[in-house]
Amino acid sequence: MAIISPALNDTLTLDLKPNRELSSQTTALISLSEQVVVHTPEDSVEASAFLAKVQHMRRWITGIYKDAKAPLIAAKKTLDGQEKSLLGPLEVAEDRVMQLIVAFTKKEAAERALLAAASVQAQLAGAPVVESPVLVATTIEGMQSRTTYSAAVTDIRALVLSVAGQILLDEPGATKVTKAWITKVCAPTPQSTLSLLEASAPNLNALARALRIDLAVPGTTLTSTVTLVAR
Amino acid sequence: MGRVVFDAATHVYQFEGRDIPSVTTRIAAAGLLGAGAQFYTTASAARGTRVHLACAEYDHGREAVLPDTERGFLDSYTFWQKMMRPTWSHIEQPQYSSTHDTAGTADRVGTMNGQPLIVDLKTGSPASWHGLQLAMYDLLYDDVPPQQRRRLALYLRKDGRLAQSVEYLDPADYTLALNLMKRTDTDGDHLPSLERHVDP
Repeated sequence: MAIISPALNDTLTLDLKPNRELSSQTTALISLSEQVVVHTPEDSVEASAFLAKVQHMRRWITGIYKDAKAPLIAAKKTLDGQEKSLLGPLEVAEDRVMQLIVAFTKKEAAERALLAAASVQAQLAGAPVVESPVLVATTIEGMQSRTTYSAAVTDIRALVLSVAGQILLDEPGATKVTKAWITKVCAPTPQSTLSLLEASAPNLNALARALRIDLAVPGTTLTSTVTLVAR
Repeated sequence: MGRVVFDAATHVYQFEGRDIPSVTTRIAAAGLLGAGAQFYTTASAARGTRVHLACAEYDHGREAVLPDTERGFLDSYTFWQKMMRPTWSHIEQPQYSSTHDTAGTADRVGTMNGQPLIVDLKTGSPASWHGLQLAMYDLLYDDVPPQQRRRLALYLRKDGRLAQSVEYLDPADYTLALNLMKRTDTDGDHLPSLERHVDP
């Protein structure tokens, strides 16, 4: 059983030995559950009493571990705060210096590219071929520049229309007029694939809870699950 | 004006009966293939050739056949092709530039979104000389003035995921390209066989 007791204000003592009593009671209940059968109303009442025991046991265990973990969670919060207070300013400093170097390097590269492009044009026009200029290092050895790319949705409606439009265009049977309308309204592109969209499970579940058996959204299916809860 | 002849078996270009140094031969001769070149094997080169042929067949509207283990490369290419919808004017067509006395075969030359571009398909990883290679190809195809074409290397993925396109933008690639191609003494006969390079 995990017992965490604050010995001092800034230290924690952890006892991670499992609680034997909890373990044996849980094992006994699991063993009993395998013998439960329900064939008659009396069986069902007896099983529901057993179910209530199991649920009480589960809540008891959760409660015990919640209490046991509370100091640890508080300690983690404290450590996270300390870490953040150190890393935050370092990251700001790192970002500032990095942006300075990147801006300088970009400016240098742009100027060098202009010169190189002009030099190539001159060489193609007959000027003597020149050696490539030697690049001057702008960072310490081993530090590499890396460009990463990412994208964010700024207009979900436009994205959904584009994906839907592309799906419709790929469907056989559309007339030229329909295709022109789809193209105008949806702005489809082969890049707008269905993989860019993800259904919202929380929103769909909320709709299912609200509408229940009246849920009628194409491409979805309603599932109802019955559970028993002891008070 | 004669026509450049490419012998696929020996990877030798000839123009009017004379061996012509190729783009990759010139890069190899300059020692710019880098450390990765030692890992190029006959098998990887053969795989590259098969994938290139299959992609070309696809672009010609013909059925492309590949072993199952290599099919992903083709799927990776067709995935990109369907998304970007380029128009090709040259598909694996050997080219010779008398100005630069160099021959080579860019995998694709054409336009995309109205912009001219040159594309090299790769079944291997990005390498430092790929931008240079594309600049040299660009100089061979004189239908568009140099430096106006976008230079893309398309890294095909074995698992069929969308090919990764890397655009090479550094004009210094052209300076180096012109330097490598100004040499007129690099007759293919004098280059070691290793330098008759086929990149996978």
